[in-house]
Amino acid sequence: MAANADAIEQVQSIGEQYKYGFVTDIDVDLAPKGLNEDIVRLISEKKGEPAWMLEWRLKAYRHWLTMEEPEWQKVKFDKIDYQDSYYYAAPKLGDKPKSLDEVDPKLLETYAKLGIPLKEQEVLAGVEGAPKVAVDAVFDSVSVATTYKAKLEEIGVIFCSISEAVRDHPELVQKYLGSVVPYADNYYATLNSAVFTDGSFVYIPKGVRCPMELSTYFRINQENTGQFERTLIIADEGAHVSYLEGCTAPMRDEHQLHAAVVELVTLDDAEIKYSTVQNWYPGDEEGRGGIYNFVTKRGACRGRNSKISWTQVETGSAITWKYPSCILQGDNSVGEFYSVAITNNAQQADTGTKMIHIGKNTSSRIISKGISAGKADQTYRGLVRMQRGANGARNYTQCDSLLIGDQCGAHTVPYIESQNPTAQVEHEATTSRISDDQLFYCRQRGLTDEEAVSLIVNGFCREVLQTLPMEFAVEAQKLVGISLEGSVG
Amino acid sequence: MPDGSGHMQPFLDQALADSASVPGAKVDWLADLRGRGASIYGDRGLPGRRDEYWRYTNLNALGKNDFELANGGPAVDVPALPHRAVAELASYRIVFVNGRLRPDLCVLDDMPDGVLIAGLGDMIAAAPDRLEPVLGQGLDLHEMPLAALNTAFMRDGMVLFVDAGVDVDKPVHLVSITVPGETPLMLQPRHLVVLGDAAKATLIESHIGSDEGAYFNNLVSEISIGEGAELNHYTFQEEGPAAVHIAATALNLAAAATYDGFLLQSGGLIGRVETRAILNGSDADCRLDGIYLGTGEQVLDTTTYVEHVAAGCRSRQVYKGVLDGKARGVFQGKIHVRPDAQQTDGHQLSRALLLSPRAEIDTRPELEIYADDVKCSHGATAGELDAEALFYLMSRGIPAEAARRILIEAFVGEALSEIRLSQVAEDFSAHVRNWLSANITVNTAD
Repeated sequence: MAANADAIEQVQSIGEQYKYGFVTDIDVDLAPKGLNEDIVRLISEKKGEPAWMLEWRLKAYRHWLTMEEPEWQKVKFDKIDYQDSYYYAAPKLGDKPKSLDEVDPKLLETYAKLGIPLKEQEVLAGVEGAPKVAVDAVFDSVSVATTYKAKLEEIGVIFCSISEAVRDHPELVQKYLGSVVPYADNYYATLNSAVFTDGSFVYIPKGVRCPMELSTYFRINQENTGQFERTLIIADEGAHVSYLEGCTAPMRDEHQLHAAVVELVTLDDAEIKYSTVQNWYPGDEEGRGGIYNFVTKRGACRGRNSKISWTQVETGSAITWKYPSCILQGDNSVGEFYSVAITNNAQQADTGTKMIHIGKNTSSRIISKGISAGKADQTYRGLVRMQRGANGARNYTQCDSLLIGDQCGAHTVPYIESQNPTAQVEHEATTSRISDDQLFYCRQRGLTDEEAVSLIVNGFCREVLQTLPMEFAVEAQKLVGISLEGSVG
Repeated sequence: MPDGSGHMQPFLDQALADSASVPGAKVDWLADLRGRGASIYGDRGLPGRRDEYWRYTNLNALGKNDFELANGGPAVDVPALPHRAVAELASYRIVFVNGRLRPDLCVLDDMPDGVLIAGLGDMIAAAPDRLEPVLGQGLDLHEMPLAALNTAFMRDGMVLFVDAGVDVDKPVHLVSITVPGETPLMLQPRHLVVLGDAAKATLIESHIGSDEGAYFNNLVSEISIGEGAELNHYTFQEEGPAAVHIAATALNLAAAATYDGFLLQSGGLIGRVETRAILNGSDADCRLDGIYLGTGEQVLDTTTYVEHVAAGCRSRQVYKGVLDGKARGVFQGKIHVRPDAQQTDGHQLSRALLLSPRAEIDTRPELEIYADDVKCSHGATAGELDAEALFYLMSRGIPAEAARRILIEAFVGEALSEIRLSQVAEDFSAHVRNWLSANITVNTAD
């Protein structure tokens, strides 16, 4: 029993020292507080957008005014005052930097503190012979550095900020933006459609296998700014890309809203692998000051034999509320969702996925691992729908929850709808805790409590962690480790 | 009439119309209880798609007919009790026709001491004091809007009281027969079962509709099981093909109590059976199993909610569904473990077989857990018959049709084998076989 008590204490102290809690002091270009049509126009103007983009934003904004905030989710938070937030904050860099040398050194320092792997820092710093990882760094709302752009351009890959894409590739943006997550999709996606400031755009042309992992680090820095990223990734026929997204945010006193939208489109035989490690500030032990992470992520497998794979490691944020989903339209298309969510103290997470099977012989796999400690509350909420025409479709879902301590909660709310007899759906869910036997076994072999808990939790998540790309897998495993260390002296 | 929020509250006016003249109108607590039901239903209205626990079961059919509260037995005489409902079983039988007690059809002789089986209407008239501590106590009306509607009526139903330590020697058989008349009927029966500490009883419920007419049977049962007491409860829902059958059961289990429930649902146009079990005492044991067989345009909904309040309780659920034609099956099951309910052992399994390209199954197994030392799991599957198993049987000379029936029978057999009372198990198996031979033909194989 004592071992378990130690484990509880140990895990409760996760987040006591949030190592990314610092504020970078650089000048910021702020729009006035509040939200109205003028702000939407201002954002559009600042970004030098064409008229159709502004129209789309305004359409979204007007629709947003008619919507009500959803209340079905199993997370609690004070009502957000949308008029008390800044909707545009850009680091004052003057003109766009011609080279990375012009990037504010403080920014690079920030990345260093974030623990961006050294090699990627080199990439950011423009060191010659740096490994081939293209990083589109998002600092608050504006993309400040895009590396390897030229190299990617050679093979026809477009990897730039969404603002640049609106300017330079309007035909692609017009064709695909909002085609997976329509502007009227849900409250937060609609808000995002109206005021999104930046994000990444990726287009992989026909038959191209992107030679490097693309990655973006999201960062929320300015106090009271909502961050509204818009990411759009298109893999044309036979294309392949692996995209990494990492998030950390510095310590703040007030809640900050992050309402991003990510849209993925795969055409025939294309594949997108989208990996996220989210380690935003979770707030203090009472949950004060953490990030609200209300994100809409959705991928459409439009083409035959296409594949979209979501992997997420969610350890941060006061509230995480997102459902990366796949719409499996093309015959034989494949959707995957691998998730590890760790909540502690007063953190809340309501996350899961939706797999909508439309095409024939589509298949999907959902592996969700939830770890809840302290007073945290965690929910897996998912939908698997086999539509009438989804002949031979297949789904396998497994949701496991691990409870650490007797004050946390773990919930599973799957919706399974099947309209096709040839479709097979399987769902399993379990809830358990770290057993005294497991701990005893580890300690008997000389591991400390801390090592034992870390080992067991890592083992519990292994199935998901090993799906991450190498660069992230190491970081994520460390993150799980870090989350569980530092308390046992 | 829709109110400001767009809710519909049909039938409420009928409940309020004669609230001054119904039996027990002068009994204050009863009038209050009815009034509370009316006001909660008035606020909530008829559940619609926006109500999370009703999203798969659409009650629009209720708005299409002017259902009228059935008043007294039908003019026609009920010939013999339908043999479909465990005919051979020796039992204490209490019979309701169109929601009203029919003493002439009941068999309630030689009951042992400490057992009371009576009509709710009679009890309200004769001994309302015995009802006061129990009636309406085990229900959360806010969670069950149609149970609130039922509470607004509360005219008749069955009362079963078993005193502490008494073992009821024969099963109690509750038979509800509906004979629709010229106008679409509405029934609001209310049943109350109270088992004292260490008491034992078996209750069989048969809900039978006699023809094609539309009717709305909205029943509520409150079941309270004392410490160490044991109730076996088998329910057979075979309402008429145009019926809407909405049943809500509120179960309360004291320490070490045992409840063993089985539901066979194959009747009605819409059949929804909701069970809310609260495990209040430690070491209670709750089993909820069932089968639903749907065809045509039926919607068969099984909704369960098991709340583990006390530590060390067990709950088990196994539900099997077979859906043909354009039938739709709904299974919503929730296991809720309260913070103090350590050592909870809760399991749930829902499996559905889709036999036709137009059939549909919507499943929502849910876990809500606030205690760490628990073992909880659920599983859900949906799909068609295993082609290999079918091939295996056919390769041994069994015709396709028979092979399909054999496999389906085996599929539902897992749930049926949980029934302890052999006569009921045989009767339910026979019903499954009849259903299969009536519905599973070679044509449905393709």
